Amino acid sequence: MERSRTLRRFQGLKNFKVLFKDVVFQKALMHNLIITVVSLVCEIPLALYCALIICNKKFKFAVIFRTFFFLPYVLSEVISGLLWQFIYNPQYGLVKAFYTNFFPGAQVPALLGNPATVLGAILVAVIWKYFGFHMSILIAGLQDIPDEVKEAATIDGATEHQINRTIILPLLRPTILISIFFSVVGSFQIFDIIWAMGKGDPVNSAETMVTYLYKFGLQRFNIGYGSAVAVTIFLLCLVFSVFYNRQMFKSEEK
Amino acid sequence: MPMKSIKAQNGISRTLQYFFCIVLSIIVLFPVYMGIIGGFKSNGQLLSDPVGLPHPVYVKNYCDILTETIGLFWHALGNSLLVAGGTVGITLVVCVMAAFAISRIKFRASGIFRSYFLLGLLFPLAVAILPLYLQIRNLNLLDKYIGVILPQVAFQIPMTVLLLIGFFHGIPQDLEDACEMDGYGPSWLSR
Repeated sequence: MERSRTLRRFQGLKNFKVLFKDVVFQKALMHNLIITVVSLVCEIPLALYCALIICNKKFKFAVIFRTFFFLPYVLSEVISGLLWQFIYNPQYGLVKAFYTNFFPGAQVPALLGNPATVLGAILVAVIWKYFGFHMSILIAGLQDIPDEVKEAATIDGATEHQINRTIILPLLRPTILISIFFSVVGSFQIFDIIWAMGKGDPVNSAETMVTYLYKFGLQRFNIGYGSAVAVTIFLLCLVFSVFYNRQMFKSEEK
Repeated sequence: MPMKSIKAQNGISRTLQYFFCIVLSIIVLFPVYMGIIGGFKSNGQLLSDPVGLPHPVYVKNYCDILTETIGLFWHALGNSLLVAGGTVGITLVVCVMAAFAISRIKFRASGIFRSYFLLGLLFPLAVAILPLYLQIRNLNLLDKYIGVILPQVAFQIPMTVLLLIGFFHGIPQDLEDACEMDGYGPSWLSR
């Protein structure tokens, strides 16, 4: 008990120095940034498009599609990771079926076992899982926009496309900003699904900051070093949220 | 632009939208379908035909799980239920009291407490793994149910408290005043 209460052998910033020089951590940070960018570029536009379609009053079966698209988010992260691992499995996955049907004889690629493809394969699963979440945030935002605005534009002879682009999108801006915020913070903290799809391996090519923290902090029992990683992640998130909120408020005041 | 052509334009894009939604649904549901179908196949069937419907339907997987031939399904389910029940119970009791105090009792620091709970929402779970582990170890709670329940409660508190504060604000103050007139305290009201 005693050992944890007193601070002995104070290390100063040594852990942080080691951390920032570590190539694996730099890789992990890079992967986090890639995940962030991809979810901003693919996930949110996809979610926005689906939300716009589903929120249209004339679109039938909207409830069914909404349930379908939201379903992956409801599944637990570990389960979805395992499902995708199953799909990518070169011996009995969907990928194998695809290859045997369209390229018979060709060697089935092990997408999760190849350092070049593993991150892309995981990103597909990430987009699959989280676009429904962003879609429901955006739908909630769309429902707050009064119908009168749309009706007025329709009477003036605007097409749906024009209405969406010039009226709905500007009004939806605050909701989109919140969605982006969730997406970025979520990408920085992504862990479960990557851990379930191969623990960030092979050769650290899908490592993220949190898997790094888990591996080097908990599994190797290097608690001080792990705490340094944790503090780094926290600071990154904090700086981002403070900066982002300030920008958001600034633009709203205009 | 004449009205008719706008309608036609909308009609074309509507068809495209349906097409898009159906294709996307198939993509989205496919992994789930794979999981469900895979559960009804033996390893051999999976190797020879991963995507198709199971033929014959293989139910041994489910029998093994439910009869605990492989793994300890019922034990695990019991654990989950216990942890879930404990978490919900403690969270509700603690959060209702906190939210009531913040939203209804007038005291100086109530704003500060509110912001304090809001701060909890910003705190990433991942960062807490290590200090949490140390704390639980020092409290000798490793490998105990309560060692899982307490951190769960801690991470549920900010969200729950903020939700409940909003809810308490929704109850009109007059109702509380009337209760007090009749001689009931706040504890009666929150029931």
